[in-house]
Amino acid sequence: MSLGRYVLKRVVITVPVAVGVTAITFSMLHLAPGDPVDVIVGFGDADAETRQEIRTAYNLQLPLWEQYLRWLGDAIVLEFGESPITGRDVGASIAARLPYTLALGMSAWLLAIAIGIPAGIIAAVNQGEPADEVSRFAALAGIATPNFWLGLLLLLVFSVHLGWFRVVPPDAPLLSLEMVWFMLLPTITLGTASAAVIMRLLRASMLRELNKEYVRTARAKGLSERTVIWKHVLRNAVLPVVTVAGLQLAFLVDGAVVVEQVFAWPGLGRLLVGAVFERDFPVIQAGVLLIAVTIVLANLLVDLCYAYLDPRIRY
Amino acid sequence: MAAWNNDVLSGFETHPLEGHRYNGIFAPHAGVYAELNGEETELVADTEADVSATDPVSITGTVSQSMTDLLYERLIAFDSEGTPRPQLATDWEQLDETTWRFELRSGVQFHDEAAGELTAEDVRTTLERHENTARDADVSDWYAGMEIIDDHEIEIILQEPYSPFEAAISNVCIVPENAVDPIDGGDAPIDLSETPVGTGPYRYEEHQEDDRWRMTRFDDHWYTGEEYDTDVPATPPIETITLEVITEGSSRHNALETGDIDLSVAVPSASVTEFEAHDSVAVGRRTSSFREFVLFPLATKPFNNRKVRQGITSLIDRDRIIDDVYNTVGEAAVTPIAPMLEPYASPEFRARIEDEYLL
Repeated sequence: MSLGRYVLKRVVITVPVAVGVTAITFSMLHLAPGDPVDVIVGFGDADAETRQEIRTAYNLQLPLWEQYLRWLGDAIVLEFGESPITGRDVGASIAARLPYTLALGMSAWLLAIAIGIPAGIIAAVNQGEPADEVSRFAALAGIATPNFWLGLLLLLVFSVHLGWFRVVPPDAPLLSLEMVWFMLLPTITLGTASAAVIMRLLRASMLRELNKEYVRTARAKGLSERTVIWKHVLRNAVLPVVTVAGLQLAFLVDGAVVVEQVFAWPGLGRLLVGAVFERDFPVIQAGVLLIAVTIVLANLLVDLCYAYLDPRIRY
Repeated sequence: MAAWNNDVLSGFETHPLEGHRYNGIFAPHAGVYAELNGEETELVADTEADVSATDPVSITGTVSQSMTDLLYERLIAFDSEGTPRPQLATDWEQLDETTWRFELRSGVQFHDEAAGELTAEDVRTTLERHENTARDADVSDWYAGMEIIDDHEIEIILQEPYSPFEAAISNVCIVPENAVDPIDGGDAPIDLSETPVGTGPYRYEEHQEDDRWRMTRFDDHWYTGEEYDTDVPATPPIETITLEVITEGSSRHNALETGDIDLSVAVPSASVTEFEAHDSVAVGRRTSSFREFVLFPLATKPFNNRKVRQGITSLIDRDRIIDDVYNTVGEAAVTPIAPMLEPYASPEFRARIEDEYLL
């Protein structure tokens, strides 16, 4: 099967996954206690007729499966309706936050890779030596530090005491210099734990490879240590890291709620958490769909990287 | 609890009633206004959540209420002492037990030209569009109808004698007659859920969801500096108000400390002691009407049993909550009436409740 057909097949598989995930959230949301009509009328004692009107306006009176199919039909053409809580267009609300979420998620991910991979190699090559011990300690600290705490600490040191950064985002376009500078602290906050995970994983995977016979052969035939590590060991060791890094990408893009709170970052996480509390069904649904799609896409990327890194893998 | 940077902002004071957090920026009826020191014309303040609704009849939270407070005006507004003062009504009197007559201010412009000048019809629409909305009870508790005598004179008829009427009418934000109906929708020219249009000293400028909310001075505001016996200038000294959405308490603290914001209307109580030791930060400490409370579902077992309610009420260690949760900032309450509403808080009533529920 050619690569093109493989990609096509994987993209097509996204559809049932997205349908499945949204169907499950849809039913779970409606099973959870709490009625959006109550929120709209402010838990007041609106008469039955008005409640019925509101239900009809948002199609809440239809059977659950029909509500879902209607929603799905609209979602296919990226029409997510209006939030019954705020009266705003859901698609527009999400579109306004998406660039912020992507920018922070991607930069945190790049940081995680930029730190995690070199650190993992150094730790593996210098196994048992001080560099390895230091990186082990740093990784443990990185994984064990809750990111809200790290964020607050960075703010305290670099913004409050040193005054190098603003505490809240500047009033500037997303890709301006000011904004990129501001994003440095949230990026570090969000990316640290992922960097630590990638580093530890790569170290373990490299150590496994370093003990294999092909490495001895490579060294025996006189290849430089550099070539052995970079061309042979790393390429074989990096596959599990690619899997995890791909999932981390999805996690970083979708899971920045806490960091968004600390840095007043107008991303998707806060929108979704707020929506859950207010039973804002259309917003939750659209958000969940988006998360499902990013995870499926991240997995697709991972699989494509496999084919590139390991010529034995063919689709 | 509000705190602000003394080097930047002067004259600000907090308003005791919830929902009026930014009142201190410019409120001629209360005799307060704030100024920025130096050349700056933009005040940057915070809000702990984004505005969730901008049409007054859809607003159910104090955050949205406060964020739109400088955009809308009422017939009557309360000053910081709790005295009703004229706002869009210049004069009012109670004709009989159920009739109140109001003189409306003339020459009041709405922010949108499509809405024109304030007339009696705007007031009628405002009152009647409350029906079946989240704010229904604000009006339906007392409203029976309205007589329009002329464009600037009205009589509001109550269903029955209603003693807190002045307080109730001060909750009603006057909006243009041609605003979109909150229930039926339709295509009226002014959609308050998109663009809030009122008569207040500031007008809506822009909103970036979960990020910032900006208001600018409304140049055609009716106030000329003569209406009240105060020194509040005719034009608000602050040109632009930007509210940054900062959901995390410690981030609000830090933002104020570093000068990213000039005013925080929601500093965590843990920060108060630290700020009070700080020269450049002023803290507006004032007993507010804000309170924490527990509602018992009276119809549900076991809460229908008075002894259970008495028991739970006695178990709540009010003093400890104030010490540990609010860092000693606050006062213990036994009734839902805050101490500032002194005329309503009869000591005998308080004593009776204490006697009954605090065993």
